Amino acid sequence: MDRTGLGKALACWAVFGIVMCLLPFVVTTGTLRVFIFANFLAMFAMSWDIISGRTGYISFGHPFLIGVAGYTTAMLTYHLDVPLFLSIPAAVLAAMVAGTLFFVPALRTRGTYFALVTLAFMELLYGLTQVVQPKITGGTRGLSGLPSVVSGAVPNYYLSFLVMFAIGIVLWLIVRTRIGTALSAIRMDEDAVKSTGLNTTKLKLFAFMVSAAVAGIAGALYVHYLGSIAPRGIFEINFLFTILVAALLGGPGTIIGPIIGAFFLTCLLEFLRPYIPGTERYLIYGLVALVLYYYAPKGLYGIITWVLERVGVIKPEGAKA
Amino acid sequence: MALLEIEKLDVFYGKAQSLHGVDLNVEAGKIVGIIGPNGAGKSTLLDTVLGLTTRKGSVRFDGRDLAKIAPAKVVSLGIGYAPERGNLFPFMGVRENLLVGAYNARDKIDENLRMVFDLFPVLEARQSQETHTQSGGERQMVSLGRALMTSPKLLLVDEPTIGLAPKVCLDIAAALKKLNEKMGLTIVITEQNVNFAMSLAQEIHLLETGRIRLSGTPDELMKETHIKETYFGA
Repeated sequence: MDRTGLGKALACWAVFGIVMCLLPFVVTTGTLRVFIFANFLAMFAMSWDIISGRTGYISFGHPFLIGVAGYTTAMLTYHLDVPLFLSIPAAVLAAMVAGTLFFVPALRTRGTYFALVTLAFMELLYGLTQVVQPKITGGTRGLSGLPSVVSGAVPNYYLSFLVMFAIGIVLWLIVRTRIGTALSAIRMDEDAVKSTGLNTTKLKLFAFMVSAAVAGIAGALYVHYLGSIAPRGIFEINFLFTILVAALLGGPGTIIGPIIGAFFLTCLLEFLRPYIPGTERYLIYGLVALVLYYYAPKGLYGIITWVLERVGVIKPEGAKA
Repeated sequence: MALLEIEKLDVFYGKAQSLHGVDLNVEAGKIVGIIGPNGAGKSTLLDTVLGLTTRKGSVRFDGRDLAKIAPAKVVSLGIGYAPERGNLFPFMGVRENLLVGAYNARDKIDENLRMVFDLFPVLEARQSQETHTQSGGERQMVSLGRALMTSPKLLLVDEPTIGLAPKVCLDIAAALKKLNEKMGLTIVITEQNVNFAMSLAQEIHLLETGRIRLSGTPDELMKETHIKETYFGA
């Protein structure tokens, strides 16, 4: 991206930031709560995107990382009264340690096998939280009455948005560096990356650590926003699919795409709620996802950039010179 | 002392042995051709030099044993590799593909880019073009360029003419000759196209079923009945 392109992109980030900061002045508290969930989903989807969208290592066990962070801060605050400014960093660290567990199978497997191994991690933690030391984890009912970081819809909205916005910009900048390019190259042909003298192990470890840190931050803040954590809420397959669909629908490997996808998906589900109150609305969003992914594999981000290229706002990338 | 010394090299893919006791020395400043049919072990030999396979035997580069050295480190020691069919990153532009090769020679990026664009001017005009939209010849040029971006002392080129038009083969040959004669780059090239290898290399080795069958200069090998019958149908 040249200087003009970078300037335009930063301007887009600034406009997005300003619009989102003004939102509490124009929408109801109820709508704001919808956007809080969208912010958290965007963080989860970006975290997934760094591993799976960027390096091509498809993770089906991302809630494992979120759950490790969520349970760490929940147990520390619930049982030991550890203040949030200590429990949340501890949760992020725990998620990063969990990220290294994810990384070990990535040294030997990829594709379907890697996806299944990560799914097994999630299922394992799902089982463990329910049966091992239920007094500590809260068992199947989980832990509730957790302290919140801030109270009220507006402060929670600003907190979730500002953290999501900061994570988005940092990740977006990372993928614009040569490390980001190398991570994309791993997705396309890992052996070719090795043959150019790049240490793919270190690069993947970096991606996994960044992803785990983001999942840790988002997971810890999420449980304190909800005020509770339960195995079904975190490790349910619907939660995993919502993260995956948000990233894929928005545009995998782009960082901005998962943000767009998260907002689109959350708003779509809320828009459908008055008409289809039950879980049947997931069928509608599944259909929308299917159609979009079939006709626009680069996701909503691809559609938006295509439109912006057509109207001349941005220059086409990868065009024939 | 040879720049690359390979001694008693055995390579295995699981239980299947692909190379059997291969001995090969590559002197600095030479172009060495490895010819042979499909499945002879040519690509395996180059992959093994880079450390991408499981092996027994010794591979030394510039006096240094490459056993237990990771491929990334091998490249940083001065071995550039242009694999068969390029193995490019299809949804990246030409320039990005070249820059992925530049991580080990970050201080020479501009200099190496200039060298690649001088060698293949068509790439300079198409820097932003994604490589999946390029012709086979252009992709081969990007592959060679990416290997050159590592500032190699030894360039390994795996079947560069596969599927290419005769005119493009000549362009590739001219570029490799220029790299060897003007820049003193040592090149090991594997080829099924025996004519191409004979026209380019100063020393040829015939690899068949994982064993070196014949070695010599192109003129010497052209006199061999086996070469004449098998590769020229004489």
